[in-house]
Amino acid sequence: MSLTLNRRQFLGIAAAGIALGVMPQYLRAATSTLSMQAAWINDAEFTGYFLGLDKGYYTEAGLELSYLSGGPDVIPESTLIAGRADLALTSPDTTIKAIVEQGAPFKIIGAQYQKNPLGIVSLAKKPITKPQDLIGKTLAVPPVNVISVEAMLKMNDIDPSKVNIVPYAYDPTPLIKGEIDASLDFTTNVPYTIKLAGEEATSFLLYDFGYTIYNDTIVVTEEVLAKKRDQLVAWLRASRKAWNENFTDPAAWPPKFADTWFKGTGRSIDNEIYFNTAQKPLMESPNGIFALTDDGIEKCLSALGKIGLVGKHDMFDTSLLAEI
Amino acid sequence: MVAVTVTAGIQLEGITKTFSGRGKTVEALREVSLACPTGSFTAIIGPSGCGKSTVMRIALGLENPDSGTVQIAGQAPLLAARAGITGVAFQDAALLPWRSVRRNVEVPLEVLGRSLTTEAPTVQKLIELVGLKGYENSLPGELSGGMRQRVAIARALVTRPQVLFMDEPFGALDQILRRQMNVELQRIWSETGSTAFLVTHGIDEAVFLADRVVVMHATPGRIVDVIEVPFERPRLPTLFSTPEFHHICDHIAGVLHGG
Amino acid sequence: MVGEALARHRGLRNALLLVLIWEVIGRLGLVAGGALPPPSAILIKLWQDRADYPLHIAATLQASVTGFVIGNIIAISAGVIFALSPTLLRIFRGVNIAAFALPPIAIAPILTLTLSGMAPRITLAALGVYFVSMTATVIGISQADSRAADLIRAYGGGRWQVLRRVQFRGALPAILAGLRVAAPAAVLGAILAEFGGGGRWGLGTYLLGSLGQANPARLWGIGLVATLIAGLSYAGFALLSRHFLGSTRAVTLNTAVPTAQEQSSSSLRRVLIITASIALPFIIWWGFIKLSGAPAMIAKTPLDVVNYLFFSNASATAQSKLLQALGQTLPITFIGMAAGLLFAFLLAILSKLFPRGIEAFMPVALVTQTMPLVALTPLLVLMLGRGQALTLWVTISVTFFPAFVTLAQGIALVPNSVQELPRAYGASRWTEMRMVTIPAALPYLFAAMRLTVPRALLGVMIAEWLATGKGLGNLLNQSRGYLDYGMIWTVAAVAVLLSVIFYQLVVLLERRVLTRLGMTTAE
Repeated sequence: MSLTLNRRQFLGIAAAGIALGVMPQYLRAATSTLSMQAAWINDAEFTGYFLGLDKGYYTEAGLELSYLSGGPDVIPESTLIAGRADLALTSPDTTIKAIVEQGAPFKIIGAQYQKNPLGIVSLAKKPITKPQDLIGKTLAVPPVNVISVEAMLKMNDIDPSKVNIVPYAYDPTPLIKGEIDASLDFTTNVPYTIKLAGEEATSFLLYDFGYTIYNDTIVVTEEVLAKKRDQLVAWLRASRKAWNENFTDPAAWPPKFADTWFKGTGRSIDNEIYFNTAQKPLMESPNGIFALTDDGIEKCLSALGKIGLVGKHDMFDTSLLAEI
Repeated sequence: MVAVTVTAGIQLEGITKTFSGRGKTVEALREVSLACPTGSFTAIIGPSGCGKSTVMRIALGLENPDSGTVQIAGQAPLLAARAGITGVAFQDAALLPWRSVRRNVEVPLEVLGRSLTTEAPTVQKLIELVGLKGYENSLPGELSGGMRQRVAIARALVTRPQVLFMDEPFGALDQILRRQMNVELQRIWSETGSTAFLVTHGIDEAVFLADRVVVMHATPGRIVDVIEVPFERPRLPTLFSTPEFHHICDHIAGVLHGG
Repeated sequence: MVGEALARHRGLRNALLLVLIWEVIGRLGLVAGGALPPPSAILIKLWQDRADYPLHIAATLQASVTGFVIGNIIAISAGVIFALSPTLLRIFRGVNIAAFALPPIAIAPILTLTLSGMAPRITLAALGVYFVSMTATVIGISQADSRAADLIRAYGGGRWQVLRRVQFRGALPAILAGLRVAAPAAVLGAILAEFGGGGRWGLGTYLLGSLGQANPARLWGIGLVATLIAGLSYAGFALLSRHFLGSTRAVTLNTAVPTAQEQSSSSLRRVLIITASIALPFIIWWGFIKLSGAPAMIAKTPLDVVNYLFFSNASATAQSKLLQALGQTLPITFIGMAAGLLFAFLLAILSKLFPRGIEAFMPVALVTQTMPLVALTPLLVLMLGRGQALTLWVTISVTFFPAFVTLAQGIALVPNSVQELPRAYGASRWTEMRMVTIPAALPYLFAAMRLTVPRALLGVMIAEWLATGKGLGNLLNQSRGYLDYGMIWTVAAVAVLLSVIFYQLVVLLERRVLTRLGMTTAE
């Protein structure tokens, strides 16, 4: 295939590659723009931001937002430290771990999911509906989340060594084929895939069994917080507006992104609609999208305390949300 | 030893060379002295490993002696090489497989930085002289062994060398072809009038071509005898079957094996 | 010629037969409860997904072509310099061994941390290219006709003249052959870096995104496209070299890091050179950190790693974690080395005894080499579970093929006349094998071993990362998630160091045995 390129094209590609490779992006960090690092590949989890970008809500708020897709191997916090993004969507456990153990200068300024969508997914024909059901079973967990699952088990008086925990590579095939009994995944997403494969899924949230943490917490470095406070507030405002509009009809927006944001992911639009609908109750809060309430922060910190992570209230900065 | 005052020939004096490797040292040459007068033809003969090729490599400046001096036409070997005084033909032709006959013959000219256009008639004449007219654009892979060897001879002559070195140039050829090449080489050499130095395995080849045959022995490599060959030139192929020829050959064989 | 055509015909027939068997097995769901899709389902899915592919392919090609070009410019220049200066070659020996033994899985996370945009992909592609092309250049140049080189020197030509007129042109076939092997390596390197690199486009990204879809047909489809690109790039360079040289040359994998001949030098000089050779990889590491400008929290220098492992608050935990991981990884790595080598050895012997049976097996073996393991792992997990069997199998599949190619070549190169001797006394094929062929192929056994040992570690780490959740591979993966940057660098450094040590041990053993038997090293 490479041989069909003519020389000029080839040199063009080579030159572009060299330029990309050689120029350190740390030096190019924009000042007037804002960049965000998402936590996953483009799917319904980020519908609100796509909507906001497409309808120009960020531009209206005076922001030039650049959006960086994530993926299973992208660690959003690393992107922040490297200075490649101004804000990132993270899981609070890794973020607080980074603050406590590495001294990372992070602040959490909001939370997309009030209730963490992570849950234990199993097949309806061999249902696992509560932590006790896991005893003696094989559970696939992404290595990053193992401590969270172990904490949840302990909270429910289960010895983690009684559950056979294996690595999970985000592929539900082993679950569908019965090689494992359950997996830890987004309950908003995987049940649909399992249904497509001809099985019914059942699930429960870790949140509902004591592991009361947020997810997709919005994290910035202290430096960015100091320098770009106004832009961050504008981003929160525009994003909340977009998410609210999205949730007026969760089936309305995903089809509009079929040829743009969702192109090339290999996922079906029906899947995204299912996801978008399922995540609505996990995101909405009486205090508005992204809310950080004292009660919520307290729950989050106490759950993390159970896995040995001693977080503090001042790792959260609620003042930006208060400005909206 | 023949001591002649030389200006344009080859002069080696007291050459000693040892090679070391794998903990052992091998005395390749001990006190080798040799003088070849201008326009003479010297053949050097000896068993494998007697250092005869090393003598030539030292004379060419490809190796440095541990002690002793070398002069080619009154100059150090490398200077002589850079001045285009020497010409060389190796065993197995050593042609560059990706160059045509003509381009192979031109290699020494390119290395010496001479103009290819000015020398083009010389190149053509030499190719014709070695009987390869019509093969100018052939690649070495398309030639027979004898033809390749003739390219190497033409290449050795292209700089009009005053001193011509040959290391078993016909070693890879069969007996019949070899005799033919010997006759041709004598003709070509007599036309150029250069000082010739031939390293060979073949006694008959040495006797047929040379004015003098230098016999070497191994461990350590040294010269044991220099035998004058008195035959008139031009020598004809019939010489090979004369009793005088065989007499000298037998004498050399005696020196070679006698020790 | 007729024989060749017949053989090709037979190969095609065997391959078709295999595809047919695969189709039946897939249709009937015989393997892993139907997790192995039949070829027809893969092709249908490929067609359905056709709109997705162009941009992903373009991104992968862009990174691999750029990496290929940059990697080769560096590799060939380095090869020329090394061929000209044995001292430099000796000083760079540490770097070259590291480049050969480098487990991509260990450095991909590091590249994604320290570089950005396309740079990690390009770098990994370039790294995949470097060793193959550098070695091909060094060997090509140093094997150029020494008499032709003498000729140039006899006319007063210097090094540059010799290089220009004889060596470089003479090395061209070897270099082109090296490029042929390097081209698929660039593609695979680029895909591997995509796994950790983020961004929307690229076959690796597509594969990861599709993992959650429980759709094996698509995973295989992506794998097949990757295989096809790698295969086409190989074929492209084969055509190119035929066009340029009017001939093809057998391509074999080179497993020897080129060495310079020991010159008679003082012992002080020798010590200096060895010290420099060991220090240089670390200096390059340090320079890479400084040049990339990545923040200190992410990018660790060699000193930072030593500090993390021995003098920091976390060092006690870090050490115990690392030792535990090593305790899990090392035993299975050694078993994997032995198993991979044994498998390759048996296969090589079988291919000599029953050439036709092995012919049919080759296409399958080739696909397993270019198919990204991530795509195969779910299937392997279903078939083998998550225990040592899986680790062993992944390790064998990563190691056996290059070892087999090397061994088969060694066995094929045994001179006929030597083989005919026992035959003349009425020996059976097996006796002939035992008495002549196997001992004669011993240097190639060591060459295969050199190739196997670093790859065995790679295979074990891949299995640990993807399936078993134990050992170094898992520690690396987990440390990424926990943002334990000190540990990420430590694991990567330990993995590279182990590979280099394994390689050096084989070299030492090889020298001893072969010297005693009066044989020389196979390149």
